[in-house]
Amino acid sequence: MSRTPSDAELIAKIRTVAINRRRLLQGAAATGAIVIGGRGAAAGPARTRPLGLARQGEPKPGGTLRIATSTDPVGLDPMISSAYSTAVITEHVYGSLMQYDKNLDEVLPDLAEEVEISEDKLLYTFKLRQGVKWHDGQPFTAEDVKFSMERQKDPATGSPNAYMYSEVAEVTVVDPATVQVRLNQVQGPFLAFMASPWASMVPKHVVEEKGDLQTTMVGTGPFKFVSYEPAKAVKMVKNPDYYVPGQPLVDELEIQFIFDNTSRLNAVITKQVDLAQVLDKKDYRQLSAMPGVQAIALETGSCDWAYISMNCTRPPFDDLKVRQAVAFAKNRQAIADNVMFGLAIPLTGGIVPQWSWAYAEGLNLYPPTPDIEKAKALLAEAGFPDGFETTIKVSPAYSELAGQAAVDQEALKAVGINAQIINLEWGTFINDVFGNNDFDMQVCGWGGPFIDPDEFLYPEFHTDQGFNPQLFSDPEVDKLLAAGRTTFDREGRKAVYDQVQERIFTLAPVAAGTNNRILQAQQEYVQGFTPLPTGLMRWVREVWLDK
Amino acid sequence: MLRYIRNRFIAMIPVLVGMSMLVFVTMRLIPGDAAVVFLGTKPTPEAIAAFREKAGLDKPMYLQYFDWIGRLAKGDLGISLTTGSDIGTELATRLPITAELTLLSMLVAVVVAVPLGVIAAIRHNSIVDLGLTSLGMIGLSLPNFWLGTLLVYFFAIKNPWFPPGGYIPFSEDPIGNLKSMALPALSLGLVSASVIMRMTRSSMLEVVRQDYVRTAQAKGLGQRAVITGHLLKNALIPVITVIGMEFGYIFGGAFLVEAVFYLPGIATYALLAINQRDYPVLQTIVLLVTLVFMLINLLVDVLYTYLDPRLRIG
Repeated sequence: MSRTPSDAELIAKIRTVAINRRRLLQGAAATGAIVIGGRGAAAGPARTRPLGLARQGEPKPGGTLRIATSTDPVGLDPMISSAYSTAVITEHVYGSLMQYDKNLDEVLPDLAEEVEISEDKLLYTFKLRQGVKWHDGQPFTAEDVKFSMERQKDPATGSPNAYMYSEVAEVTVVDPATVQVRLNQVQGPFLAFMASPWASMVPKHVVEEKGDLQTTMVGTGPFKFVSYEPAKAVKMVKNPDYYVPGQPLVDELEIQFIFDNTSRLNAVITKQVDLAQVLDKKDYRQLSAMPGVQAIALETGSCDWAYISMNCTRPPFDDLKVRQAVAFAKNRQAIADNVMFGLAIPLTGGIVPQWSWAYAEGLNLYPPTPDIEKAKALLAEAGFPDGFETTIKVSPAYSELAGQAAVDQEALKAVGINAQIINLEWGTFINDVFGNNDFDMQVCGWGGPFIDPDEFLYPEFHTDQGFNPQLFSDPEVDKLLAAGRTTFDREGRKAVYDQVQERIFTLAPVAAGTNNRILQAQQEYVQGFTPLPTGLMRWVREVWLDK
Repeated sequence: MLRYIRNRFIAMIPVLVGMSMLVFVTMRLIPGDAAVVFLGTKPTPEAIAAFREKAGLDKPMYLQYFDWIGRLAKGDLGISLTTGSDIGTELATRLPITAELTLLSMLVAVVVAVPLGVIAAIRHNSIVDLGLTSLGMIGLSLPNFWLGTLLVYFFAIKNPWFPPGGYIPFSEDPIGNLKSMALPALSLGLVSASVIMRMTRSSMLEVVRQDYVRTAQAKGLGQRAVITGHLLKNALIPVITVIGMEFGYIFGGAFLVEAVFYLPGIATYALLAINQRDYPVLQTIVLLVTLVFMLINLLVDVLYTYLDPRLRIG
């Protein structure tokens, strides 16, 4: 079941409310220090209505919730691995200082009860929630926070997410319930980073004893870790001391790893699992028609987007006009309809998704269907009136990517560009494209639990970033991306990101394709589940089973 | 006999050593870096270096190999790169599942194939023979994962008689265990059954023309006694060879079937290790599979001597 129009209206309303609150905060920003959370505000998550699905009714606690996902975590330490499959597990066991609301719009307190930001936006004072305990019974204190931040920042830990702390100059324990973080310079997304499952707070005493947290999990979150059997399941039980009274509602949580897409679908159909993640888009129609099962695919899209990228240092793609011609030739609608089975939104402007506050609404640079005349004219201007020969590298490890490459090949042929598709094993593809920048064109996707616009744009389009395989470099874009980080207030950042998205996609190092809707499914008796564009299942603690 | 078995065991050692080198080198030739897979979407060079050092991937390859072999010789299978868990312990919980699947599939194959093969041979050139050989041909052409998907569709989704996947330990619920194993064992076993049935049939037809069969018939033995006492025993030698080979196919087929039925056996563990470039796990599993193959070959050779006294060695 996707969202009905009435839900959409409701969400529009929620957004208006959220924006008003945002204005309030920005008002505060203008006058001085900001306080988020604290006694005045309603505590925590129950403030906004969930997106879409929740039915009303008296929650029935108890039971085991079984979730099927596609693959195992890559280690259990939330700081060492940044794999999506690790966050799918750790988000239930660990807490972060902050958390996003259910619309991924506002950052709210989580393990911090209140955060005060100084007038110069450089000093963050986190007041920690009182009475929170680690799952082994030890109290959660300011020392743990300091330890967690310093551990993640330390290069020796090898955290791929150390960048979140790149501007942190100093972490000071003021008292057992207060931590102060001083930044080197203003960092707009700092609190957003602190809300990431990758910025989990970890127990100092356990890490010091065990060295790392790869094989065990001790957190403060709603569920306690019981066991992990690779290629089978992770089992967790309810944390009776969780700080939100009455949550989680289920007694046990079991996350099963079912690699094969059809097998995962079968597990849903035969009610072997209650909720399922990462389902194949081709199964959407079948699931939607099935009684007793609800297919979930948020209409505003997800964090996943796909593109065809061009090597900006290699002729002919070093020519802006050629790149723009490709962007005009691309058939986004055909990809959305045929490769994504309708579960995708053509990206005609920027890539920051519709659900984000930074969505560039009116930015329309390219049509959803090819503008062949325009593309041909651009090619002629660039000196290729008869087109040229080139190659597209892609990995058929992901059928969606291979499908897009085929559609792109056809679309390019229509404007005279003859592209030969080179299929590569995933590892070789990563090595060629991201390691050695050895490609003319390549088709790939980009996704993860990204929420802040910085996470969508900076790593791929800033000059010295590892995820800019197209070797795109534009001083103006670099400057704007940096400004997006150092600007504090949301309105200011929104203006920066509007500007930078327009510039990036006009320069077209990649021709953006689609934002892809993630397909999940739940049994009808599953109540209170909030799907998120990230595909993560943070709100499982509110789920109950009506059976 | 014991000496023969002992010599065969000794002969296994160089094969295993050679195999271990091959496996070790092949693993490192697979494109893609464990560090990249492991660290996800945003690894920094420092993070990659730290990971390589921890996993021992920064050492020269020959040192890595000797480290591994040295530990193996001491019975230490090492730890998984990604989960940090002990590979020996993991395999100990998974091997029984794959072993059960393989044995049950083999059982399905033999129980179905041998009687049908005999019937087809006795009713040579009849409509029954034609039906059975055609059926065998179809079975032979079906990939086991596809047969598995069909079985799930008909016997788990259309008619919910069996679970579509998952594993229930025998100790917890014997009936549930057999139910959870039924469809995977059928999808593996039926394909092998086709092969074994065809072999049984042709081998029976070969033997039936032998003089001693005519003699047995001439001296007035009943048909049943001729079949079980004279025909089958002699016809089974090539069948045993095929069964031994099918064991290997079934073990290999488990890689697909365990994924379809999400059974947490060796094969699923290996698939996970491939996805995550978990070299220590993968190379241990490949070596284990090699060892199983060699043991089955040995077992087949020993069975020959039981069936045909002429093959007995000192």
